[in-house]
Amino acid sequence: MSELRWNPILEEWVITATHRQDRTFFPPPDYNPLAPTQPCGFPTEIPARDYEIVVFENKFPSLQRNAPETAVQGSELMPVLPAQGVCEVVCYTPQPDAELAILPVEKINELIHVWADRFEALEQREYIDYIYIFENKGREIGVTLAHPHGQIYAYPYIPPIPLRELNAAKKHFERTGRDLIGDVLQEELADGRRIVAQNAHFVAVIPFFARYAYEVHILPKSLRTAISEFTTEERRSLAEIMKTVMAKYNALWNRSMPYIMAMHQRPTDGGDWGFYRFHIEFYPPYRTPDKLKYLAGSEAGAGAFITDTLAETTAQALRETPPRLVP
Amino acid sequence: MTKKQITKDDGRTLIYYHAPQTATAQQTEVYAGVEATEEAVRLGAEQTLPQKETVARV
Repeated sequence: MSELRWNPILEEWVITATHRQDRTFFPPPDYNPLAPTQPCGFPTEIPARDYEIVVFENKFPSLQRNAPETAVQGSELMPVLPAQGVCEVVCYTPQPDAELAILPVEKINELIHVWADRFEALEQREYIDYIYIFENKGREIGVTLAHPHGQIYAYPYIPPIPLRELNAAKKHFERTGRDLIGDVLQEELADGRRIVAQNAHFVAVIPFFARYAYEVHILPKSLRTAISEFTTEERRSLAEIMKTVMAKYNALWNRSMPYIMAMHQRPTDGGDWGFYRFHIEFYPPYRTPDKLKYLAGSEAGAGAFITDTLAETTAQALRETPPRLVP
Repeated sequence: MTKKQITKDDGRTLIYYHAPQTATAQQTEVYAGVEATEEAVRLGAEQTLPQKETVARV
């Protein structure tokens, strides 16, 4: 059972997906559903003995192409809708103990091509308004499968955080004629203290307003609104800076750093979003090598983030940490 | 890169992507053996600006 329930107080949809209670939870290695299927072995999600990159529809989706009827009746105040959308799993390596940070740049570049391909395919669907590409890495984040993988959620509406960014960007554009994230980038470059890395086409920065201690944003130097808009050279450049950031994370405390990777891009609802700049945000949950940042009373109940660190200090630490290129 | 899409027994789609320049011999062999339910499509062609028009179909 899955459906969308409207919260009129926060003005946002909540997705109920009760079947996800039964999803696979840290299976033993021989029953890894994201591994290739070995001869006479457990039949995994990928019925082949090897693969490069595969994308498939999630077995336990929050949103479905053919969404079931809603289980309850809504009201005018609190409507209910079928949870129509798409949830896909992206497996970018057959190795269960690998991670994006240690893959060659060329492989990350191929993954970017795959993301762009899926964005272009999903945006054709009339019922999709927003395509969200992300990766949850690490038990601390709440992953249920250890095998490295990313996900793509295609929503029938624009989710709250991208919507807030889009509204802010629209207001800024109407006031100044410029794109908001581009202006943030210019101030960050002028200041310099929070820059973690940069190359020909991208800048990695812990922004002035970071909520997490090591929250890195990867921003394109030119205005692009979606992953599908980058040139071949820009995609390569994005792959390089992503690897740099993730390898710096792993080097910082000499451990594999968990994170949420969130890709923010223009909606696919047919609107004019040419003023909104694509970017990637990383949220590592650790604020020290052994202390997690919990979303507690102020953050969860009031939406007011309190950070225990200065972006200037954490950016300097990350900037001065050479990338760790091996597991 | 190229891709092949199949439909799994339960109706879900599965797409195999293949990059000849980085694939191992076994991966190339496995990909060649995938019987796509939709025609194989090439992607990842050289892209230059302006994007809106050029990336419509890769």
